[in-house]
Amino acid sequence: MREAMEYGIDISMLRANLALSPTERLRRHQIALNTVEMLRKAKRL
Amino acid sequence: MNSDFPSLLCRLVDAGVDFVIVGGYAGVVHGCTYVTQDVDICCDFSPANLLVLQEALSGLHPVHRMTPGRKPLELTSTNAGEFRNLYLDTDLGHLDCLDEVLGLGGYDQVKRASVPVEIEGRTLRVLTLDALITAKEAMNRPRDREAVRQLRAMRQLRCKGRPEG
Repeated sequence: MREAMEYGIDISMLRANLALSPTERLRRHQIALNTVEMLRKAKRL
Repeated sequence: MNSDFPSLLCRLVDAGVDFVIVGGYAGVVHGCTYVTQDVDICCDFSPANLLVLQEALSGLHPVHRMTPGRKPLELTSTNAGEFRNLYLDTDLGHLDCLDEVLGLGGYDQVKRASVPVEIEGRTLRVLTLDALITAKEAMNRPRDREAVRQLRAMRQLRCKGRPEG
């Protein structure tokens, strides 16, 4: 665990994900992925 | 159209495709926090199962995304036996279908190293955390090593969370 924390992994986020059901984890991932895709398609003003 | 991996996987389950979620998306199922842009599945590459897969993807405009010209997926009982991997793009996102996983073996071994999980009211199979770590260690690309750090931390957190006795 110490290795992960020293590497910069946010353990609190992993804990939060563990408290979710697999369906909830995938829904959150999908929101994040859609955001990434939206940003990728965004045009510079 | 935006990708929608849960809907893509539900289609496969509803059609009766024999498969296991592997790769980075399996890590997401287990609780990893990274974002992955495709879904990897290991599946039975029998022509019958691949034809069921094709039926499940009908209407989603599946194409071979690694081929010049992005040829449409057009499997027949004759050519379905020729494939070992399918790297597809669909209206619901990238879907990579593999007949084996490095470090684990072919579909039978992968299926034995999987567990059922409930997603959107369906039962899907996903690699166990231990098997996913083994597979990621075997791949050993920078992003795999990154994932292994999270997966190991996840395993430790789960062990700590288990009731004693």
